[in-house]
Amino acid sequence: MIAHKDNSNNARYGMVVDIDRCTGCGACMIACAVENNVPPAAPTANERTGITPMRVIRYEHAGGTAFVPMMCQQCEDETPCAAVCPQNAVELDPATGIVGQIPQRCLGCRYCMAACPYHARYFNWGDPTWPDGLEKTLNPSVAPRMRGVVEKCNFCHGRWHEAKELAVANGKTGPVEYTPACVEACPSRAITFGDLNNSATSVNELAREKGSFRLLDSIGTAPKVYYRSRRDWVRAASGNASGTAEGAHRG
Amino acid sequence: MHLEQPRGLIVASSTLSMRASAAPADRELILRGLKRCSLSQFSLWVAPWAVLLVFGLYAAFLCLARGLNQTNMDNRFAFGLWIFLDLTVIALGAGAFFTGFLLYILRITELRAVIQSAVVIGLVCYSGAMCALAVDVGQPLRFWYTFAYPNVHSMLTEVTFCITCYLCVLMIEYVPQLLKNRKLRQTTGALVFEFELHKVMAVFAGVGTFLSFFHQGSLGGLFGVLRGRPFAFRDGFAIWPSTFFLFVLSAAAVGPSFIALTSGLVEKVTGRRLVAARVYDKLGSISGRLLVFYVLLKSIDTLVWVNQTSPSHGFPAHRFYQWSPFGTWMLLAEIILCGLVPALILLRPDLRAKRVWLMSAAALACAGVALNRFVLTIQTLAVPTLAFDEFLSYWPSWQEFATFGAVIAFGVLVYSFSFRYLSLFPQERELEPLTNTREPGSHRS
Amino acid sequence: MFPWNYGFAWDKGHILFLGVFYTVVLVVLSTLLIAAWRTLRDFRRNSTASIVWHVNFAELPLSERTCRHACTGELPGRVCELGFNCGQCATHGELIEVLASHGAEPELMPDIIDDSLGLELPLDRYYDRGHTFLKPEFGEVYSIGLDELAARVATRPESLELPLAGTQLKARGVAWSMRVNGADVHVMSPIDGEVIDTAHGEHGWFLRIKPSRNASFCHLLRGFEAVRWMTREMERVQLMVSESASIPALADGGMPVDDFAAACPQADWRSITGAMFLAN
Repeated sequence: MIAHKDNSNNARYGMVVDIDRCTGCGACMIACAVENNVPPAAPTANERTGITPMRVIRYEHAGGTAFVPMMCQQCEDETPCAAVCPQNAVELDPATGIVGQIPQRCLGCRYCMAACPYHARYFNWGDPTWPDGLEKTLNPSVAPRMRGVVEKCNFCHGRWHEAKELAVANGKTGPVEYTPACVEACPSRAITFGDLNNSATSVNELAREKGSFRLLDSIGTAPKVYYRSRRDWVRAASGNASGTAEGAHRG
Repeated sequence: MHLEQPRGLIVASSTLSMRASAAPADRELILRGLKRCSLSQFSLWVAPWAVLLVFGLYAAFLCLARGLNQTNMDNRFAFGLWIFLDLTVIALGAGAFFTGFLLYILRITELRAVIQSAVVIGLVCYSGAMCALAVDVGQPLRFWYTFAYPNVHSMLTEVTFCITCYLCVLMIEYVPQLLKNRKLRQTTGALVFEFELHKVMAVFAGVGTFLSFFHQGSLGGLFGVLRGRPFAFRDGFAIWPSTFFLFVLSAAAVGPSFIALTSGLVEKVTGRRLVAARVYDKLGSISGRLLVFYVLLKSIDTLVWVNQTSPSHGFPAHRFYQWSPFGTWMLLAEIILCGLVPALILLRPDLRAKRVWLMSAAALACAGVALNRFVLTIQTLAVPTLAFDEFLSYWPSWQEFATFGAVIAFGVLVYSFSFRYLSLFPQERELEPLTNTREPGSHRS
Repeated sequence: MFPWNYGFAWDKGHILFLGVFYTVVLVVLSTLLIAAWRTLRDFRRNSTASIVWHVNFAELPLSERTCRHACTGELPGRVCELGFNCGQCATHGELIEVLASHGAEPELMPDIIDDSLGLELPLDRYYDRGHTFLKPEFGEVYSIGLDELAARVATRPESLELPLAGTQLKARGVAWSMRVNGADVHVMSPIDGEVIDTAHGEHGWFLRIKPSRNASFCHLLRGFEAVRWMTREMERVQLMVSESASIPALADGGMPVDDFAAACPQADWRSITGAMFLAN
């Protein structure tokens, strides 16, 4: 199931996050924001209106504490957000398996946000602003988003472009290898990234291993982001909201 | 004044003849045979609504100029007060299409007494909702993208197309009333066009019914297709989840109730009898019968969802109701208190003959449909999906309340002006004659 | 939306969805165009007068749509549904036959002037429900003027707009317009025909007309029927004056004043003239 038997040149980029390794340091969140030109939060923003395409959630449980890095799960089947967008601003790229959000086409209706069970989509509630001078640090390969559109993790699509250009320049075709910013920044190597179609990648291997699971598998969206844990209670949390109001704190 | 006592058709005493005329200052614009309050009294009524409109426009301007950070919506509550009220207002505005359908297609001629009013209500509901939506979306200037580059598989695309088309149809249906105002009707062309337009009105009623069926349904489908929100997700028929059909039915059931409710309200405010009792009775009985049917289907749908749809997606349904304040009482209030109870009242001819019962039942039914829309928009977003998720609440900002206040004020103003200068209730002339002309038959020569 | 737009594909979804959309647009637009085209056609066929009358008639209060046979007491309480086109009315036809068989069909009575109401109602002419009379003059020429009740309401028109000689008038179409007591009044023509001559009412008439060959007279009132109708109209006008002006205006058996408006300027003359000349 994980490695599709298709001979095409298509990649299916995926991620495996080892929850047991995550210390909740938040380096991935910073790296993500820097890489993707996420502006500093507005003074009026709160934890529910800020933009965090990568977000580490702290999950308190009787069994202990777990840190769950949450990002777009890149759903493959019946991609909830892509199906509902009225004007084709969300697309599942067959060449990469990445769910792309095209901000220039987005109306800002936020129907995709209501559709996403992982709350991995973020809306630009105000105009993006950078303190004087900080705009010079912007990443030239990623376009900043305007006010009133939705954005989300796209597995650092800018980096994929760069890798693809380099490959083409070197006369190579087919899927390319690249590393998203969060993967690069994680000090405890909790995140593994790669092509799930390629059986040689460690992401493919890890995703199949015992202890790997996907969030809300039961609703049938087939995410390409996998999580791993040896702790039973963490794996049990892959299911639905338990209905007990035990603490879930976002970090 | 040349009054000689023996000549006496008109006998006027000089003191009485000095009394000011009872006709309002804008009588040139008011149709003959309709009695309207004085212009100053009308201005007093209009003024607070105009203030609310201006205030709301300011709030909407803030949202448009500075962005939606003026609202209290957030990434979890991506939909808020506006979407909930839009859905409610559109459901209540369904009275327009459904009355048109009953009158022009099923030929229930009693409803001619309320069709004009229903069209105006539909028009203000739909145009108001569209205005609120224009503020609600992040990039309103890109609205035409949905038409140019539609994702034909999205329910929202269906909604956008149908509502836009239907708003145009409602405007066309409103035109004949406008043409018959006191000034325009002086031109022959206006009346002749009105006459010709009226002859083809059944076509517009038919198209309106078709469009309404699909957009009322698609508004329900909007949430029913959300596989990622098991609280709202429903199985269904072909591409349409069950909420599609329940929305159509509930809107059709509540539409006549809302028409009765608004007509009663207008009668109360103006102090005039506008609609004959038998029309109220008809509206009540239609609403009651459809409501019973709706409650039945809604109950079946809920049972299927509780026992099959939700568990099969890994979500035992009872868990959704553990998050106070949204307990099972919401479900019971929606189906029993605001569904079955008004339906049973409206089904009993003796009860619906009493104005208090009819109005209470109609108000309950309207509250029921509002609660249903609230549950699908707000409760769906509030209940957590992930295990490490929280139940979140949200309270709208003043800008959100004020913007919607402007929508309400806009509706009241358009309706008030239409009522004053157009003939919204054809029976008014008979129920409230200007002169107590005796029955022709009672004349003795 | 169009095949050349981004994202368009000739697949089932697009064809079905956009097909339905364009059908709806087409139906709405073509229906609108049909209504507009028919409007133009009505103008070309010169049938606008009867349409305007039809629209206005449908909105008249029941009390103004009283059947002529209800005025006479033959069919109490009957309301006309046919725009006073008695020629189309089966009931009227039957009644006329019955009356004719009794030799009681009303005729013009050239020598009689009824003044039982305090108004002069010469019975040598036809009366129309819109308060005009049609009086045979000579040959095929008839004169049209306001009856005595209307004349006392419109004693001194502020302005008068008469048709030119040669104008083709339509029954229920506008014969002439005038401004009376601040209200615009369009006086309805009682009959189809061609205007021969006009006057400013100084001889008691405004127009002379030659009725068209197939002009119908059967909706016009004459004789005793006209008296009954006028009785009712007097009462109606009197009630409207007294109610809209909040003064007592009672028939005490005396004579009506010459100029109603001057006697009672505060009455709602727009409504009263509307009710008399059957316009909205």
